[in-house]
Amino acid sequence: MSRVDWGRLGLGGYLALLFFFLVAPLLIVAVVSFNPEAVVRFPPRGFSLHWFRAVIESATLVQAIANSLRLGALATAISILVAVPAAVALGRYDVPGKHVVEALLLSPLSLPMIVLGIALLFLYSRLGLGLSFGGLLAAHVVITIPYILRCVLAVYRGLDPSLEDSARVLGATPWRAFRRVTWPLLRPGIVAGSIFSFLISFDNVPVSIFLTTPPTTTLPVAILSQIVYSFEPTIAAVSTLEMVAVVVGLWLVEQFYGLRQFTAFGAQ
Amino acid sequence: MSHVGVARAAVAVPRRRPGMPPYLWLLLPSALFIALFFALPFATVIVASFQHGPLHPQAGQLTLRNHWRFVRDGYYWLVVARTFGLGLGVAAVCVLLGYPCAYAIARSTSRWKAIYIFLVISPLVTSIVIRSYAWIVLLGQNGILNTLLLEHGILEQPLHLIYNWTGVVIALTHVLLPYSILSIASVLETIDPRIEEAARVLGASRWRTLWRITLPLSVEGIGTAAILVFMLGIGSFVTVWLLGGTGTTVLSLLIYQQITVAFDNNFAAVLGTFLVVSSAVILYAGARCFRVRGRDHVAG
Repeated sequence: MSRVDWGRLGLGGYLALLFFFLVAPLLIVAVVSFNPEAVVRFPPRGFSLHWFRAVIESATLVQAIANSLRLGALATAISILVAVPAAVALGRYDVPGKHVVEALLLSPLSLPMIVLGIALLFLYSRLGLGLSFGGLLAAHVVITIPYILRCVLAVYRGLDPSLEDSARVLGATPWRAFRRVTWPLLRPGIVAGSIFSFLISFDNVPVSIFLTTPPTTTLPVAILSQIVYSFEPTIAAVSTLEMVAVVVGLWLVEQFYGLRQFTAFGAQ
Repeated sequence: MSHVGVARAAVAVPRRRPGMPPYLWLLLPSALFIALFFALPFATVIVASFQHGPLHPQAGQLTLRNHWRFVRDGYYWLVVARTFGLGLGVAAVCVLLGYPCAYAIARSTSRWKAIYIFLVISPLVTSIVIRSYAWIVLLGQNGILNTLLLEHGILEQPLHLIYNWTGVVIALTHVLLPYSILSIASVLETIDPRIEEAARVLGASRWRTLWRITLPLSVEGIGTAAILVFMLGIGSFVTVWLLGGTGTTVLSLLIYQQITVAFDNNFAAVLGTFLVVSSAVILYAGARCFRVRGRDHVAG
């Protein structure tokens, strides 16, 4: 006779509740966005794509989506160019004060973002620069550098340093050794870091809210200002679009790299 | 490849080359970026906190007036207390709720593992603005929960679930729970399951195994999760703004109000400096405390 395993059953029930708590709000937003009425209602009475059309027809939201995509992509690209060499330096060389250097480069992770937002606002106004896309981009590069650095360093620490040395001893130029040996080995870290970096940039409010102007406004800032004034389902529709994009993105990552590494990289 | 080539390549292996160390060149771009767009702006904030505002007759001159205003007024200390209280409360809730889930993820070996991780990550990668909006839709006065409860006659009056601490804590837990789950899971995964099996085989009950083996070995993960959630909690801005009310004003919101409503950048600078310095101190102390204790447990 097998006894009922209460411990396992309890844990299973608990997990079901917890995942319901985590995912249900997102699903409800998605369901609400197909509501034909102008009030948010659940369950919806009918099915309509009206609010999705409203998103496409909203010049503000379309502009904000384009801005956020461009900002996230550019910030991530620059961050890779800046942070991968730093990760190589910290992973490969005996840099004096290595831990201090690493802590300094990672410090944007651990400080409240809103203070970085006002700090850059003060700096730009003191320098008489005003608010530009360039200034916003620089801010986002600073926010995203730690994510790339962390992910690439995590991969680098697991590598055998003699691989690159072997390539060099066998006659490869430093550039060739990097391109043919180190780069392919680092690529999973760079991919994971880029995904994080893009999402962090795409989602940022506390820095962007101080540095954007109507023409450079980002999607979360635009959604936020709409929520403050109204609750109409256009916001639910644009949120649904964003969630679908993220789920597809995650599925692609799972196909190519596996989500498991996120437990290692995701825990900041 | 000739012998000369091999010899030259061997000499050129960077670690052995004398002169200008190449790592300086590799570190230069990121160091410059962090210095120019991170350190310099913070220096600007600190300087601004010591200056009179532009409307003051002695505009730009150094003063301690802004700091004095902060120290003297009990309201600002109330806001500080709320901020840290919120951080502590949410950290405790996230660690308690997240630990069993982290354990399930760490010990799962089937294909369920990928599904669990997907379910934890999908809210994490959804915009915080969207998640906060979702809670307004769910918990608001005319929200889904109240509508359902009223329509079915379970309630006479709608519950006041948002624009107060209830809404803030629920939504912030939802926002920060994935961080605690992932931090704890990454430490639990490093614990050899055979240690737990040995305890069970030697007659320890499941609870005793959890209490005496698994929890002590995962103290570092709990500490990391608590510190991370606390830091993100005291800096949280969007969720508290959207789900909170006048009674839930925390430091980040006060800073925002000082800039956009009161136009007192210099006082905002005092608040910002305080938030950064206090969170840096707590981060440092917390990291030290948990790292040392974690090591003791493993050693003992």
